[in-house]
Amino acid sequence: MTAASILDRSDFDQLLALLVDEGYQPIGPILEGGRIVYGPIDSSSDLPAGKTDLHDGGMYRLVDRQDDALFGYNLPSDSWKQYLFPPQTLLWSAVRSGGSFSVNPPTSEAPRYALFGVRACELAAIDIQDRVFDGAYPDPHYGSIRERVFIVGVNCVQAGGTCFCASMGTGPELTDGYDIVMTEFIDEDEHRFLIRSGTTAGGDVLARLPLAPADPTDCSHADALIAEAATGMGRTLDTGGIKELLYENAEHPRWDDVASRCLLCANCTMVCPTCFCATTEDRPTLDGATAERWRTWDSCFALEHSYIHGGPIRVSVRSRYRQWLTHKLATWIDQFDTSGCVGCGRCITWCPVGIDITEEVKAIRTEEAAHAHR
Amino acid sequence: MCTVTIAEPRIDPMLTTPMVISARRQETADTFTIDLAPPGGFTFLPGEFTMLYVYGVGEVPISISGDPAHPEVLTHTIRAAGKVTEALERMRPGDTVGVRGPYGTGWPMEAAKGKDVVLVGGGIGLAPLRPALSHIINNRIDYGLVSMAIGFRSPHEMLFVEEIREWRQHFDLDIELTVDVADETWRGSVGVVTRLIPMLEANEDAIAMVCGPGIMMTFTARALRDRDFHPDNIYVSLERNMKCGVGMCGHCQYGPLFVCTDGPVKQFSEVERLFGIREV
Amino acid sequence: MPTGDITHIDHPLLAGLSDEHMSKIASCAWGDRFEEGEHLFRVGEIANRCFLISAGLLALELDAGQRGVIRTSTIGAGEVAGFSWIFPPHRYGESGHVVEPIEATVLDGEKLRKMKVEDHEFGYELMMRFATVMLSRLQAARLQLLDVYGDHR
Repeated sequence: MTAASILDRSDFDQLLALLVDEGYQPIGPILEGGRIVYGPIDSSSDLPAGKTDLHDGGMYRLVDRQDDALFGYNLPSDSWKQYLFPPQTLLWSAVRSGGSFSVNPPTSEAPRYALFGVRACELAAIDIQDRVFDGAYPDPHYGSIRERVFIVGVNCVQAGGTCFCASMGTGPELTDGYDIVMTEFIDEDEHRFLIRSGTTAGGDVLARLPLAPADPTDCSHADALIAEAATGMGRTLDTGGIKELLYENAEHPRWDDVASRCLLCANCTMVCPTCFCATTEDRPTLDGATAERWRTWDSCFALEHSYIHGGPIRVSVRSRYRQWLTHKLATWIDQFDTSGCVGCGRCITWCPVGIDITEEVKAIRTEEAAHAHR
Repeated sequence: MCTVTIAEPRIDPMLTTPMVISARRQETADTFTIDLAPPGGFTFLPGEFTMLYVYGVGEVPISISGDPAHPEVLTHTIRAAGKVTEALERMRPGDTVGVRGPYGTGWPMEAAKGKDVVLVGGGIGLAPLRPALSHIINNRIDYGLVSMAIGFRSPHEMLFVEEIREWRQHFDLDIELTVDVADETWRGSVGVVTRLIPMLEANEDAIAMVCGPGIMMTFTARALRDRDFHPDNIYVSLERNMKCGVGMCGHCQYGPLFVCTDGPVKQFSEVERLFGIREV
Repeated sequence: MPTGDITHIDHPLLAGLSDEHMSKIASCAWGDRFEEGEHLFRVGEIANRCFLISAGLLALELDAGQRGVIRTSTIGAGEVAGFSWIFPPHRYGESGHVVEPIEATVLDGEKLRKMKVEDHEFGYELMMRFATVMLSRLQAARLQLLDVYGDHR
């Protein structure tokens, strides 16, 4: 680990400017429609200073903080997936010529994003999507964006009501995978960032910033804040033997229970930073001269997701919720050697009826244990 | 910079290659076979599939039904049952389709060497088995007793009528055929395909390759197990919705499996648990 | 018609049968051959025959009126046709129509019924064998009912 330094709040915009100079488009948290989302940022005035967010099952509120922290919120509703694996991607376009056609890949250069405010759970999610898109047939669309990305991580010094990264072992501290990582401090009249680099590129940027050396007490102060966040998680999830638990309980009555509440809205899959299901769409022009092929986000909650000739395979709500949860927490482990859940809690917050993945697992585990003792 | 590095130049697995239809045969009222002329040939293993694209309409996974010894022609047998397959049905020689692949796992032609082989195909499920039988015929000396049980719904719904007639002329192949329902004019066997299984000649360490509707594969595997076939030696070909064919669209998941890259051909022992779960 | 010189019947249905039971069955069995187009039995006829087929193909048929004659299944070498002799009122429920010339051992159902009553152990042995075949036939009929290759959209 490289040595930590101190960046003063008043110099924060120099970091942004340096990255813009390097050719990056900075993306960070912004206020939009009464919530915090990720969007392009030009300066620190775009960040949600002095705002924080309250999360619970099916509940989100934006409220004022007592201070002007830039990263004093928990988690935006959308994730970095929006940028690395966009909701719509042009795969190629075909041009008709006579009875035949030719296929042309898109010519646009991949964007260079600097992601500001990446949380530990989100970096874990990016790592999980790396495994999905860099498999036996690497996806060049994801890969070309991903390899150009510059990551500015920010450690969590508070936990949200639906957070459970501590249970999933993904946070709240960023341990690697970032170019730069910061911890934000506000004490008395000082507003500073403990900052360190994780890569050469990150080190090169830091070398050009007006930094002060960090005090050992700054580091221990940061550690204490992060440790506090770890114990303040609004949710927990017991992951012990979870794969076997879910494999053995494919017919558990709890699936019927959750099916009676689930609206099949697919919000959980849209806000999930690891969900990667996509469908393809063909968009021919009216005269048929060209036909574009797009990749768009899809959801296993959609009836069409499992459609084969003769009809869909997963018809019941029960089977679709079971597919999502079992994939996320169990089959994902067989597929990618990692859980598909990072404990960000977005699926809980943004579920319109407040279905809670941690509660569902708990119910299956408890009822199974009760059954075992009968 | 970050840890992901993907070697240049990138090959986009989603890019399709246009190929011209060289021949077309109507098999039944709703099923047809098309031959494509792949520029530079198309090498594949029995059991593999491709993604076929119809200009402006969409893409579907289709098993290759041709002879692997003839890479100069790429053959698919298709049932018109959806938007893209119905568009394919309207295409004629000279028309162009897009092709990606081949993808997926093939039949265990290597593992079956030196052993007896039992092939069981039902309906359109015969199409992915045809390359396996072609391979066996081309390399007959590599295999022991070879028998095949074929089931169709009715005599009108028979595929590969000429090919089956030709296979039946091989003295070293036992080809048994049955239909689920027939009238008096049908001179062959009537009854479900599983009824043929006890009659096929094969050692119990034979390799079985089974393809057909899910329920047919379940009952066939059961009938094979009644004959003391080991579940590791029974192979089935799975079917799921697929949008990419290369393991990243999520549609073809079957429990922990991506049918496109982990399948479609799997040992029955690996999927037996999943066969028992509804809507999995 | 019957000649009493059969001592052993080589058919899967009777595999492993004791000598005593075999000779009982042999006492009411005879070999026969049926040509293409013949009917071994017809719907509604008194059922007093059972056919252990060793060669050929027999179609079981039902007359479905305007839909014509439907073949519900075919019975070949190693299989058995005719269970109706076991159960009252002893009438055939389907017709047995020869598709390919049949060689069969024919059993006299009337005599077998008497022997079953007189010797329950023999009756049990025989019933187990017939019941096993009937079960597999029932299972196959269920699968047929599923119409697995049908377009169930």
